Amino acid sequence: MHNQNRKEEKTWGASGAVSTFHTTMSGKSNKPLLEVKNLKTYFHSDSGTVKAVDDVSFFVNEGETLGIVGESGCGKSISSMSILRLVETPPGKYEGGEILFEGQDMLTISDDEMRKVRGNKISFIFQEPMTSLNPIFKIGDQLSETMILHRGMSKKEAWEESIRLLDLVRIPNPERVVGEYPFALSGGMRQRAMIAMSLACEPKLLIADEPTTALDVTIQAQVLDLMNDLKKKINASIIFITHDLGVIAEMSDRVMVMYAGKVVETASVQDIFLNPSHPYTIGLINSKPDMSTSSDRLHVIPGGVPDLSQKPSGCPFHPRCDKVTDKCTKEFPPETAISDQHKVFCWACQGKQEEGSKWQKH
Amino acid sequence: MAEALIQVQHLKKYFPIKAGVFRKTVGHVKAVDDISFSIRRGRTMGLVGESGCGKSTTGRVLLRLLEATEGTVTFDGQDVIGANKRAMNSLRTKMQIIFQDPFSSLNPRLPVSEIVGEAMIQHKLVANKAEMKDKVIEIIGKCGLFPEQANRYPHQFSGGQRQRICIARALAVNPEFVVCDEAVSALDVSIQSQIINLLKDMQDEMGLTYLFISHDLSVVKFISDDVGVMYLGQLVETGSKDQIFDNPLHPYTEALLSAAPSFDPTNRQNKKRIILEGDIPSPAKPPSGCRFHTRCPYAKDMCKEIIPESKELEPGHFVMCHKAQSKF
Repeated sequence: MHNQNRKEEKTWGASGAVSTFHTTMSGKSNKPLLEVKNLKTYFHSDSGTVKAVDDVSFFVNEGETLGIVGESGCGKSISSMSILRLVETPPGKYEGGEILFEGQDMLTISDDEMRKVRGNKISFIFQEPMTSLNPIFKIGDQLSETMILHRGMSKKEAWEESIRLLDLVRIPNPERVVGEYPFALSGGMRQRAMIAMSLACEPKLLIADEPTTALDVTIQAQVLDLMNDLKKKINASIIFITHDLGVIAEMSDRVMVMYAGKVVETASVQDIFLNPSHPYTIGLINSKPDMSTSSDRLHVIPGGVPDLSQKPSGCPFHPRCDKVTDKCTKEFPPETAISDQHKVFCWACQGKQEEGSKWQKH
Repeated sequence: MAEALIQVQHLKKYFPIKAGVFRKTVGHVKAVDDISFSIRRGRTMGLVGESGCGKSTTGRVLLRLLEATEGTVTFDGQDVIGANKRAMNSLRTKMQIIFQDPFSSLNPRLPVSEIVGEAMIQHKLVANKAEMKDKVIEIIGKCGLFPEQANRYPHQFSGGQRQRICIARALAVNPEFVVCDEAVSALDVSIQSQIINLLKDMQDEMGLTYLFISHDLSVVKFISDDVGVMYLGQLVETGSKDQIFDNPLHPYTEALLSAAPSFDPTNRQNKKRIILEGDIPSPAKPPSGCRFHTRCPYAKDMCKEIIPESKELEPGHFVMCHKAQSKF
């Protein structure tokens, strides 16, 4: 369906210069753009039910970057894929909860309505730029597709716009690259093309799932720099998923730490790194050798990430936790608010409030 | 100063590019192009660089898993590249490797006891299967696995445990030198720290010498005594850990260090980051002169034409750069 009004509203429409859509400068509001409430995404298999996302609630404010960090199998990707209903069903199943985006529950809207959201209001950047680009279509065709579909552009307009988008993501010679096939591009360039594609319809929410994990450090630095730059320009909210704490520190405003399908701590990026509360967050930060300090031995979280089909009872982290009590093995802890923005799910943290509030600034 | 256990001189490894009906060689990928370094006994040398810079190839050529095109490698004074089959066989027990991917580097059809014990039998370090089993249980115990796990198969283990099996396999023959090729890169952060500590413990216990290949600078900084930085097949800078991390002299090292994301969210605004332009050139067609000149923020005309020599600018600190050698 082509919505002409929507097309004209678009400030980065076909005729505007790049600078015109830079006018809506970043203003972080406290209005949630996306609210996920008690989301449960389970996978049913013969060997049991895997609770990949188990009663997870979070929100993303307008213009804000939420970083989701955790180890493999913690449910960070499934949480974000659930937002666009990208989890394959079966074996996956949305067992409960709500995902509110612009007043609509993403879990209940029809497939047609969902298709209008995907790639349009919410877009996705995947980890592997090689497998997420179609090898048999030109970059320009792949970029144009969403614009023809969602913005009602003609093929020619969309092609022109593709060139401008490629230029926006700092691809040299966009006029040439637009006619290339994905194999002709290097990893960093492909990821930029992916970013260009995700920006094609000026999304309100951008979900980036490990966008730089497959890239080399110097290329990662280029892409992160680009994303930080674009963040200021387009004023979209971003959900940034990664296992790399350094990237989280670099990119996010607020951080959510996940473990075994559960949210264990959320706080501003300063609080997460300077005043972490959950034993898992503390362990995770200490496990990684820091470039700026030197020590002789690394902190270790004993044991391994649990198999989600046999998730430990109570708090799933209890078998690895050094502050474990009897209570931890029986019941998942309720939310403890350490400060306004800093929430932690841990029995040992109860009663701990505003201790290190020196980083609280408003 | 400890003696050098591994000595590498002018090592080259070229892979031919073949094309056409007759598979004629039309060029070479210069994966490793004239590198020299040495590793002292009981120390760890970290090798860093981006993908395609030749760091893994270097590790493999050292162990003769790939044949060198040119150059020499000596292990404890003994020539490795020219060693005959028998000499090489005995060298193999002294030099081992741990690979990156613990999923594809273990044979799924063999139980752990066979995987770890195979080399012991092959090199006649044990008399019979019963003795092998005892040894295997001892070594996997050191690596943090339980005796009853010796009869299990690789698929029954998690990634971190599999990497422990790989380490046990490498250490089973009492090696002196171990190449760790991205040994912790595929692991989760909390598992990574366990494995890094294990590698350190084993080094203390068995007096091992490591070549630690990784793209993760923070891990390399943690584990290494000396560090080499590779770019497009060349070793552009080598030195002690402190020299490289506190006083990088090559512009590439400088950029690499500044590109690594920092943990401190408070200084992200005022941190000046060097963003390198462009991509890594293909090693099949490396740029002329200094190979880094296409991306170097300081490049001058001479960099495009003259290949810089590797010069010792501080004791033990070698740099391959015209600017660092203050030629301009």
